[in-house]
Amino acid sequence: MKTNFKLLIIIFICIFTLSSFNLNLFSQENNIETSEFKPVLLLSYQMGITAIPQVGDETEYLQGINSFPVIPSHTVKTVSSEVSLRIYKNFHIAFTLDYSMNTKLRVTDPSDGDSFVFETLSFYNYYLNFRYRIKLFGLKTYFSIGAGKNYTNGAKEENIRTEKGYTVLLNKSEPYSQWLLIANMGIDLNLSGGLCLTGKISILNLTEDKVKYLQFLAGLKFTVLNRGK
Amino acid sequence: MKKNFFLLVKGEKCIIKKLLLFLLLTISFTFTMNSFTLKKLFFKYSKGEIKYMGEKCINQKFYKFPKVGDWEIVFYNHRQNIVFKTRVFNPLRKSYDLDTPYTPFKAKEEFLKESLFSVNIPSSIKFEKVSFYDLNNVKTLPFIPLERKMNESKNTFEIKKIIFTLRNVKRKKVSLKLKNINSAKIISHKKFIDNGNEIRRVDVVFIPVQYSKEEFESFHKSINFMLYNVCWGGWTDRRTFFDASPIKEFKRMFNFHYLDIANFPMDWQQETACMGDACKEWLDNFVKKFIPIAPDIYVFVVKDYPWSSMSSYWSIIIRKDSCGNVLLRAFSRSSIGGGLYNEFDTTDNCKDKEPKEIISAKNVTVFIDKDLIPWKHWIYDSTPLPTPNNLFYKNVVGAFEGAYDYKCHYYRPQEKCVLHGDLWDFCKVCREYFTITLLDNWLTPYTSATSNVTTGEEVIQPEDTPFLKFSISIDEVILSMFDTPNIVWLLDDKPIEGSDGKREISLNTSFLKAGKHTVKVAIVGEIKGTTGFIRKFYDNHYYYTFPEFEIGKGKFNRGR
Repeated sequence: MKTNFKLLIIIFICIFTLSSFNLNLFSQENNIETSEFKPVLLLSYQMGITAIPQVGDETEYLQGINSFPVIPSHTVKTVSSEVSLRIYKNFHIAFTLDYSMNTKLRVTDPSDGDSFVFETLSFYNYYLNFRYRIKLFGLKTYFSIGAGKNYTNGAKEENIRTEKGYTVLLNKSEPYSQWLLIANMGIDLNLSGGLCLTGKISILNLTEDKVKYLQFLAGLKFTVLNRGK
Repeated sequence: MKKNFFLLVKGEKCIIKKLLLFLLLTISFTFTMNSFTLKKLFFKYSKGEIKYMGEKCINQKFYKFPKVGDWEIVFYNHRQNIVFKTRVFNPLRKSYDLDTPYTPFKAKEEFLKESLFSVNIPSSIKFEKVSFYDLNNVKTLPFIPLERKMNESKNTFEIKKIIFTLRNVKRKKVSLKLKNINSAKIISHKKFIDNGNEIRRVDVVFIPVQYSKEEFESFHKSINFMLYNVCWGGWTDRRTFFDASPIKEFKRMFNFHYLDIANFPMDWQQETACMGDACKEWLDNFVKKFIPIAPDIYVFVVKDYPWSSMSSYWSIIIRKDSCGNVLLRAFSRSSIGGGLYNEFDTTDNCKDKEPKEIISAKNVTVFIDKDLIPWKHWIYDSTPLPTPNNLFYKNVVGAFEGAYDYKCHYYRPQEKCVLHGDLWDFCKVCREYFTITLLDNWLTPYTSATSNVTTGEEVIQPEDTPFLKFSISIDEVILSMFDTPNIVWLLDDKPIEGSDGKREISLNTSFLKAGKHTVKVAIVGEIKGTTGFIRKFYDNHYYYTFPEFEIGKGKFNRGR
C-alpha cells in the first residue's frame, strides 16, 4: 500500500510539472457549457481546514483501561492539490490529493479532571471524483462525488505525564489506510485569463473509522489546457 | 619601559599570562579534588533526612554539624521504626529542659571551639534514615521535624544550612592485642541450641579465652552452668537463664553456638579489649568457616578475668564461673537488650552536689520530676518520688536512688532488678525496654517476599498487568511465638478487604487509582506470655513493605 501511495504522488507531481511547463498555462477557459469533447485541464492549489468530530463518549470511561474516553472535536490545517479534466460537456473527472497536518489536542479524564496534551496523527486523502460544472446565479459552481483512500500516519509509543503527574502510555500507532467516500461543492471566481479563485466544501466519509470529516478549502485554480478555445 | 610592560602582559612568552594560567589551573585542580573528596564524604540530604551513600558510610558512626543548639537525632531502620535516639545539647546552657527519656550527649568543650558537635552512634545500630529535630525553636510541641518547618515558614531553620560531613577520624587501633594469630585454631563447633536458620535468629557464640585443648570440657561446663544455673551467695537456684522474662518468651529466636578454640589470642589486661568494629570484622572472618552468617553476639568466656562481666554492643566478656544472672545482665547491656544501664550503686558519690553526667534514658535517670522520668507511664500518681526503699514499695515502680554505679543522684525504676545485681528478675521497666528492643531490632518474621511488581521507573498499565500478586513466606518458628497472630495486608496503609490471614493476595490493577502505591503486610499480635510487658504505646504490627509501584492512567490510542 505504501509503495502504491508513493507511486501515486510521483505521478501526480509529474503531471503537475509537465502541465506547468509544456501546456498553455494561462489560456482562457471559454464556453465551458457549450463546447463538447474538447478537453480542459485545470490545476488547483488550496488551503483550508478539516473539521474532525468528537470521538468517544464519557460513558465509555473505564478506570485504568479507558481513562480518557473522549477525543474532542477539533480542526486541522489542510493543503490540497487537484487536477481536473473535462471529459464530456460539463462533466469533469478530478484527482485530489490533500494532506492534513497534526495538531496538539488536550484530552481530559472525566473522573478527576486530569488532562494531557498529545499530538494527533497527520493523514493524507487521495481520491477520484466526478464533477458536474454548472453556472448558478452567474457563478461557476460544481458538484462532485468520488471515492478514494485515506492514509493515516503512524506514531511511536510514548509515555506522557498528565497534569496531575500520572503516566499515560500513548500506544504505538501503525500507519493504516481505509476507503473514503466524498461529496463536495465548489465555486470558481474568474480573476484574469486562466486564473480563478476557488473554494469548496467537502464531506469525507471514512468507511472503517465511521466518521465524517468536513473540509473547507480555498485557493487558486489555473487553466492549463483549453482545447475548447 | 612601556614596551617592557607590554611584553609582560602580551605575547607568548609573557610572565603574567603564564602565572595567570598556572593560578587558574591550580584553582580548578583544587576545586575538582575538593568536590571529588567531598562527594565521597558527604551525605546526601533532602527534606530533613540524610541517607547513606553506599556501604562505606555504614561503619563510620561519627557526624558533625555546625549548629550550636539542642538537637534530637533519630535513626530509623528499614521498617521505619526508631532504632536509636540521641540528643546533642548546647553546652552553654546550664539547665536541661529534658522532656523525653533519651540519651543525652553532652557536647565537649573542644567541639564548642569549632562550634561543631559530634554524635557517637553505636556500631551495632543498623539504620536507613536519620531525622533531625530542632529542640530550641519549639515550645508547645516537643519536636517538629525539620522538613515540616521548612515547608511552613520561611523564618525557620533550613536543613540545607547544615553540612553533614563524616568526621575524619582515623580508626583507633583496636585494643585487642593479638598474639600469634596462627596459633589460634578452631577445633570444633557446635550449635547446641538450634532454632533454625542463622539469618533470622540471634546467634550467640561462646568463645573460650585462655583455654588450652585439654580444658574444653571445663569450658563446656561453664557454659552449661551459665545457662542453666542462676546462683547467688552460694545458693543454686533451680531456675535457668531461659526462665527470665523476656528471654523466656523469645528463646526460640536464639541460636547458641560454641567454638572450641585453643589458645585464643587475647590479652585481657585492657578493659576495652576487642570492643571495636575492626575486632568484630576480624572475628567474623575467623569464624566464618563454621558459622557462615556473622554472629550477633560473641560471648568470651575467660578463664581468669578480673571482672564478672563486660558488655559492648556486640560482645560480652564473662568470667568462666559466672552464673546465669551475670549473663542476663550482660545480655541486657549489649545490643540484644538495647544497651540498658547498670543499676549498681557501689560508688559513694553522695558528697557531690550534682550528678557527674546527665542521663535520663532507658532505666536510669537523674530527674525525680515525674514528667522527666523515662518510665513515667509506669509510675502511679500516688508513688512518692524519689521512692523510699522499703517493703511497702517493694514491687512498685518509682524512682529509687542508686543506679549507674552511683549511690546518689541517679535513680532506677524498681527496687530489685537483675541490673541492680539481684537474682534473676528484670524490673518491669527493663523488661519492657528489653522486649521492645527484641521486637523492633531482632524479630524477623518473614523469610521471603515475592511480587510481580516491576521495580524501577516502569509504570504499570492495567491493560498490560491486570493483576498484581504479592506473597510472603513466614518463619514458622517465629510465628509460633505469637499468641493468635493475624496477617493483615495494607494498601497505602489502609487494610485490604478480605485479605486477613492470607499469605498471598492479588490486586486488580484496574481498581487501583493511578499513582504511586505501597503494599505492606503485617503480622499483628502479641508474643505469647508478654501480656502486660509493654505499657507505653507500641504498634504491634510487624511489617514487611513491598517495593513501591506506580499505576498509570492506562493506554491511549491516537489512531486506530
